[in-house]
Amino acid sequence: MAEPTTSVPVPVPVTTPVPGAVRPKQGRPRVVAAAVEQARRAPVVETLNWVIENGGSAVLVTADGGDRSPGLHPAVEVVDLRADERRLGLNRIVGTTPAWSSWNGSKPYRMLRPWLLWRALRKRLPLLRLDDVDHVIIVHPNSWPIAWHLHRQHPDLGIAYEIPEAVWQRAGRPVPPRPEPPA
Amino acid sequence: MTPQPHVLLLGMQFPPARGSGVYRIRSWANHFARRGWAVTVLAADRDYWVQRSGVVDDELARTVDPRVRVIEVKVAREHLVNRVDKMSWAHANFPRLWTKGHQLVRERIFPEVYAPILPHFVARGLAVHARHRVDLVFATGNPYTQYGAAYELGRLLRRPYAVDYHDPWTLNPLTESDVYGPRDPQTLWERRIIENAALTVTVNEPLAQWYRDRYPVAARRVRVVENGLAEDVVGEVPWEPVPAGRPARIGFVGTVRSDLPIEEYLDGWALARKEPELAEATMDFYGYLGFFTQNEQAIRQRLEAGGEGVAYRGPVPQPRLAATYATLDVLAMLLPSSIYMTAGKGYDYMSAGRPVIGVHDPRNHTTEVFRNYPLFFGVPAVTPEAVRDVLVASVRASRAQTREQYELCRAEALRHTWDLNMAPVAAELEERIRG
Repeated sequence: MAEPTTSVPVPVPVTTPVPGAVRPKQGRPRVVAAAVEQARRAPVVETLNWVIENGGSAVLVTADGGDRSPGLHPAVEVVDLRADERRLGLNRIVGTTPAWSSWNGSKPYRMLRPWLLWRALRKRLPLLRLDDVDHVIIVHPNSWPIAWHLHRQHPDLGIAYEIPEAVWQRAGRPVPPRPEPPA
Repeated sequence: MTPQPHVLLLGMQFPPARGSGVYRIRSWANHFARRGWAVTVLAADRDYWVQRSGVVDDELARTVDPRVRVIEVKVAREHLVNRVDKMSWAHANFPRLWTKGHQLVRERIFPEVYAPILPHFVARGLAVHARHRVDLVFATGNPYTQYGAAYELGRLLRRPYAVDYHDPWTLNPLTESDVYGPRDPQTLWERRIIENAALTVTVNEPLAQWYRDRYPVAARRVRVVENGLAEDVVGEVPWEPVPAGRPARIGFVGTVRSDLPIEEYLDGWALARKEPELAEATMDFYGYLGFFTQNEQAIRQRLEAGGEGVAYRGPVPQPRLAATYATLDVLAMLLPSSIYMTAGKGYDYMSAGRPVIGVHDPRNHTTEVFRNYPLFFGVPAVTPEAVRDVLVASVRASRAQTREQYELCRAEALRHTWDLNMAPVAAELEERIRG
């Protein structure tokens, strides 16, 4: 407490360590990235590609409603929640009208949207094969609801902005070097 | 006033919390109790510290005077949770809404991250007063929200309150500049608090002067209570002459914070170790790494890469402090360089009766504190070369040290105990509530 600062800053969300030595298993690490908006999409794509290239499996959860993210490895599974989002509650009515785009972009809706996207994902959980998932990558507070609920269902799941080394070690694999950032 | 005055001490960081500020709060409580006051402390609940710091200091808690009544207040902490898996349902599921709501609450209550404790402290303070009339509210921060609580309690109870700034709030002591603008709520709140306080207390004269200049209305009510020696915690440190031929042992004992001049010191250490006086010498760091657990790793890595003879030895339990000092020939006091900084640990270092090197800007108030200490070696500037020079000089002094010098050092330390430093201000407060 008595750091010589004048006030204690509000901590920003940081990494959550993967519980050590929990659920040891040999094989392929499986990672889910909850990247429901475009924020930090490029580094997420790079991370998922890196997982695939080093023998793991990866799922990208988005709500883009369009093509796959540019540069995404073909082996990365994509779960797009856009269509399911439009079928949720009131969206079922608004989603088919011209009012959808203004409702979708409004401040109140954006505050609720991360939670609604979890509700959308809930119906498609089998696609994630949660029993095999080791880790959830979050990219933004918009990822929190999905990560929080997945962790509630599988308390062994790690949540972090990066992939901790323990994910590889638990799968009995050496930790691969991270790709060099482009010059 | 009741025959036995009753002070309500707002001390969120009360033991078993750990950290350098804890000693000051503990000492206020013990000092008031020893003067015959009834003392009630409102402190954060134990679990809060376990979660924040990962550790509590039960040994220190045992040094609290048994007459002191400690009431644990459950501290709202959801806003401090940064692990998604540990968040509440509302925080994790509606992050933007939750954050906006929290900010709104803060703006309405008090402009600090700890604002949610204010209503709890005020409510508990009122409850304490209902059962045992409070004569004085005394808040020591940080958190600064406690000053807000003292102000509100003073207003509601119509009792005087005093604020003890062991850390400044609106002044950045490292950069020596203002943190907030003149119209920021923090500045406005501080003015309100200080101008209405019976006394404003701070840790050194440069800080006191800053408060006098900033708040001229309250200038005559600003006092200095320097930090002090906790002689009951450190105890008497044994001393023996350094055996000829044995490599020198230098040590740092205290919280190893990232704002200390560790780089300059370790570079100076590398230079000094090439000198014959420091051949095979060892440099041991004892203490916690930073205050917050998230800072630990970087500091640990820096110390572990510190160079030949450097080792991190971990925290020292209170009963082992004297024995730890006894293993060292020279004590290294690393401090951020600022006129407003004072070393709490400096007084413990004095009591060890050994050469002390001061690695900080000479303008730092600690230079003044050590003015009469016979074996103080302060650097003229925080550079590796200056560090090397004081290391060599202090090791020479340790090898030539006599028992008489040791006793002179101890005597100087005992002129700086918490009780001696606090007595004038406590007496003044006593006088004030009696009159």
